[in-house]
Amino acid sequence: MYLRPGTIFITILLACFISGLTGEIKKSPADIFPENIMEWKMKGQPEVYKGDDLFLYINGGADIYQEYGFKEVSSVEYEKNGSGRISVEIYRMDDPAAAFGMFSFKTGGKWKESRNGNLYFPEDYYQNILAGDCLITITSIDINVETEKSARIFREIFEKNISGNSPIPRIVNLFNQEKFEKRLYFEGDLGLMNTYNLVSTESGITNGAAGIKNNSITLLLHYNEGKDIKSAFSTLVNLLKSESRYSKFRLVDGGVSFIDRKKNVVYVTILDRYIVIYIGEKLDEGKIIVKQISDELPLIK
Amino acid sequence: MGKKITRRSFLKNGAVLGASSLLLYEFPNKIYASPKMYPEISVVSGADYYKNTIEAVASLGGMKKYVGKGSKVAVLANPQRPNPGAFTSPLVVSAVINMCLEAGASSVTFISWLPVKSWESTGLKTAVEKSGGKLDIVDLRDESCFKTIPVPEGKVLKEAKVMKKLFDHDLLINIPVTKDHLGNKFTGTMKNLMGLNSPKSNRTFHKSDWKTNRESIIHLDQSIADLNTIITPALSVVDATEFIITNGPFGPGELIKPKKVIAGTDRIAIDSYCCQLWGLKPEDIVMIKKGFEHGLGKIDLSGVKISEITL
Repeated sequence: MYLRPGTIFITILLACFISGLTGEIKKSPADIFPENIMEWKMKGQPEVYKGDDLFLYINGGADIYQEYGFKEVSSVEYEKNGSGRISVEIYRMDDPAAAFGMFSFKTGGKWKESRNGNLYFPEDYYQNILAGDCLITITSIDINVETEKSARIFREIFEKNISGNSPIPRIVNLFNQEKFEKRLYFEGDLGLMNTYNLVSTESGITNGAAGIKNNSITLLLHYNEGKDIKSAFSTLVNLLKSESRYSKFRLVDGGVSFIDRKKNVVYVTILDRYIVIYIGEKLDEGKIIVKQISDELPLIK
Repeated sequence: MGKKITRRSFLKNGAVLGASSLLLYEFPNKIYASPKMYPEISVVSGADYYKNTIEAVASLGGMKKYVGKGSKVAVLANPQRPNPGAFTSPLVVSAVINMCLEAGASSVTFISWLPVKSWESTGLKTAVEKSGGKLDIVDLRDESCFKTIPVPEGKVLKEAKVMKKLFDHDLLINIPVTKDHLGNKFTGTMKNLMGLNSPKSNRTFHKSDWKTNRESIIHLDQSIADLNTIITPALSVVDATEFIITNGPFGPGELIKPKKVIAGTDRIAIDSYCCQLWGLKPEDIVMIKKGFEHGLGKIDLSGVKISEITL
C-alpha cells in the first residue's frame, strides 16, 4: 500500500501524540488537548471552569452536572483553514458513577462500547464518550460530512488520552442490556424529572435507574439504608393517590396500580431495597419486567 | 395608529409618574399595537430565515409600528453557545437590525453580559456589526453594571438587578431562540429576559445547593414570570428555525428544523405556540402558567389570532 508522505507524517505525529498521552488520566484535562489534530488547529487556549463557576460556562444548564457531582470542565475549539470547527469539552465529574450518570443523561440512555472498552454514543453531529470519571463531548459546530468524519477521529484520540475504567453502576445493570433499549442512571431530582416526572428525591431516594423499551419505562428507586422501604412505598403510593394525573387505584399482586392520563398502567411494587415503577401499556408486561429485574438481583450483589 | 411618544416625552412621563417604578420600565411602544387590524402572532416558515423574519414582522404591521423615528433600540438575543440550535440565528438578528434601521431607529444595540467570545463564536458579532447594529457587553461579574429594580408584583422575586444599559434605550426587542431546557423543559421569550438580569441575581432563581427538586423548579419558573412583570419588550421575534429539543439549553442535543420565525407582543401566547412545536403543552410548562397568572398574555391559543404563512 502506498502512503503519501503527508499521511505518513500525520500518522507518526498521531502515534507520538497518542503514545505520549497514554496513562495521563491523573493530569488536568487542560493538559491533554493537543495543539494540532491532523489539519485541525486549536483555537485559543482551553477554558477551564471549576465547581460553582460552571454556571458561567453553561449559562442556564449547569444544575444537572452539579446534581451528579461536578469537578471541572475544559473546553476548546479546533479550526481547519477557517472552514470548519469542532468543539471538545471534557467534563471531569466527582467519580465514575457521576460521569456515567451525566453520560446516560446526555445520550438518552443509549451507548456502544468502543474498541478501547469505553462507552460512547455518536449522534449525527456530536458524540459523547465516557472515560473514567470524565465525560467528553465532541461537537461538529459546522455540520458537514467532513467535519463529522474528523470528529470521529477526534473521539478515538480523546478517549485514548483519557482512558479510565467506567463501570456501569450496579443499579443500571438490573436492567438487562439485551432487554432494554435505553438505560439511564440518576442521582437527583433533575435526572429523575427529566426521565419521568414522578416525585422528589427528598422523599429519601438516594439514586435510581430507568430502563426504557418499546413504549414503556421502568424506574428503579433506591432508598437510603436508614429508610424503611415499606414506609417509603406507602408514602409514595399516597403521593400518587393525591395527584390528579393518576386514577383507578387498585391493589395487585405485591403492589398497586394506577392509570395515568395517557391511559398507561402505572404499576408500583417493592423489590429488595428498591421500589419499582412500571409505566406502560400492560400490567402483565410490568410484572414480567419486575420478574426480570428480580432475576438480576442476585447477580449484582 | 397611536400617538407617537418620543424618548424625551417617555422619560418626562416617567419623571412625572415619579415613584411608580413599574411604569418607568414599561416601554412606550405598546400604544402602537392595533390588535384588531393585525394578527397577534405571526408565524412564517421557509428555508430563507432572513425573509421569514422580515415577513413575520411585516405581517404584524411592520417594524414602524414598534420603532419610532430616532428611537434607540435595545435588543436581547441569545448567543449562548455555538452548538447548532442553541443560539439565535445570525440571519434573524440581521433582519431585525435592518428593519429597525429602515424604520428610522437612530441606533440598534445588542446588550448582553455574556462574553464577547460567545458573540464571536456564534457568528452573531459579525452579523450585528455588518448589519449596522452595535454590541454593548458588560462585565458579568461587575454588579455596578446592574440596577436594583423592585418587582412589585413578584411572588418570589422581590427585586431584580437589571442591566443599566437597558434604560439608555427607548424600547426593547427580544429575539430568543426557542429550545429545550432541562429544568424548565422549555425556553423562549420569557426565559430570555434572564439575559438582562445580573448572573448573581439569576443565581437566586436556583436553589443554593444545586439540588433541584420540584419546588425549586417552581421557584425558578415563578422568578422568571416575576421578572417578566417589570420588563415589557415592545416586540418579540422568536427564532424557531433550528433548535435543540434535548440537552438544552446548552446542547449539543437532538436538532429539529421547523424553519419558523414567530413574532408578536404577547409573550405567553408566543411561548405557548413555540412549546407545541415539539409536543409540549403550554399548561405543563410552569413558567408559561405563572406568566399567564400574572396576566402577561394568553395561554389558550384558540383565542389568539395567529397568522401562519409559508414562503
